[in-house]
Amino acid sequence: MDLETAASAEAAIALLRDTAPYVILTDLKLPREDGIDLLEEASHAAPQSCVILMTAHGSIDNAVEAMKKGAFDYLTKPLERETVVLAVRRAMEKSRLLSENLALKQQLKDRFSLPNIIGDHGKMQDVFRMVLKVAPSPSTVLIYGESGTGKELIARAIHYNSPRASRPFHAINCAAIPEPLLESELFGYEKGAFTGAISRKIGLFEQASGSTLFLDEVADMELATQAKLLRTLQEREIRRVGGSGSIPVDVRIIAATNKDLIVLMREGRFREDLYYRLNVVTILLPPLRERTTDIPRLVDHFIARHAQAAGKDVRGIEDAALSVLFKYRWPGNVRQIESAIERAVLMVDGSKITVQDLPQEIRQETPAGALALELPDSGISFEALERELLQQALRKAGNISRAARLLGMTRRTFQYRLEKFNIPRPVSEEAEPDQAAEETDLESESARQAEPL
Amino acid sequence: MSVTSQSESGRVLVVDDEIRQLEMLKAILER
Repeated sequence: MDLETAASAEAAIALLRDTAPYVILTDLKLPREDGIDLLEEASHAAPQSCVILMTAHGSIDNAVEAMKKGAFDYLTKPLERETVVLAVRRAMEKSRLLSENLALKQQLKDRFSLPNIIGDHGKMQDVFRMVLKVAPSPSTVLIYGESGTGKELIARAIHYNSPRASRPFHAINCAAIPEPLLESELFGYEKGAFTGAISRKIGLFEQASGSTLFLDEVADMELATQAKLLRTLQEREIRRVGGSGSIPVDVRIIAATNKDLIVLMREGRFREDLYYRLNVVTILLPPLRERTTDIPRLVDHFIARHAQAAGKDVRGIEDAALSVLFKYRWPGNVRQIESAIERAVLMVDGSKITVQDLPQEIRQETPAGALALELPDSGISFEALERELLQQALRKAGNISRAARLLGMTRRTFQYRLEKFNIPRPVSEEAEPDQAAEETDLESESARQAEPL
Repeated sequence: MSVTSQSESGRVLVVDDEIRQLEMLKAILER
């Protein structure tokens, strides 16, 4: 055991940061600053420490005051050896638990700190800026994003950057729990509220009081539960199922959905008043296909994670395989790319992931030059699409030959389609030589160059 | 009875302006 001594509170305070003591055993009465001053200073400078005060028989009131301020214990003089040893031993055990707890909280905070979330793309940088702006306030946040875009990760980032970070983050998936159970989970119930309610249950709102509650897939909540949620947000109090009294709660709500709440509102499946209550701040998470520049870092991150878990020495991905990942549409977003890399890490024989190690659906989805195009439910005009492609190719290429090559067709076919849709030829086209003539010219040019040799 | 078990070690800071008492506590905790 390392033992340090100090003859005054000032000398002890000077030692706090360097020695980071588990236990501080201090006399209550000290010259100038006393044991209570030391206790207050220790709560900031050495939060893992437990303070035991020693006090003369006549100053019990002061000792009680010290206990209220967070002292671990107090000992009355004259001191007995056994009492001192026992108190210090108990304080040391408590302090170890406190240290572990503080370290785990710090780990969580680091894990969900923004520099540790991958997102160099401008759209993700916008999201991070928003997170930092909204985190300090208790305002409700609504996160929109497709499945697998990291809605819970962003909700946690808000929580761990907020003043509520020291309390546990609570989350519930509203779509994963059948409705009568969801209400019990959120609001709790009293003993005897229904058959099977053999004891009182504390709901998530009460558990998360002083902290953050993440309601994932909030659009899947039924109207009756939506009404209860709205009441809770408005009144800042809940009523347990089968209970009569209201219980005040202080919960920050972060809700998320991958559905269009405005459409659901129009269809009468989502309460309008709840929508406006939730939609104080909105964060839009981009799908992975709109931030493909983040793919290489995500891939490296997931390779490192899963290679370590699988005990394999995988150090990267071949360019051809990375190119396949760039072309794929990723309907399951970051979650899907993680699962693809996890599989590839298991399959790979060498130190680099190859195309063959990638899941078949990803390899097959991306023939060279294929478009990531999904037919909308409302259908599409094929002719309008064809016309648009022809016009885009012309704009990009500048002349018919190159535009035809962009669409993988001959110049003749391209011209035929331009005429079919009455699309005007580019102005520069007059000057453009015929493709056949161009090729002939090139051939004769190389022939001329070859002649002197 | 000792303060720490064999596998444990910890830092204790003892604060007292009476040198005699400080020495006594030191002796108790170091035993």
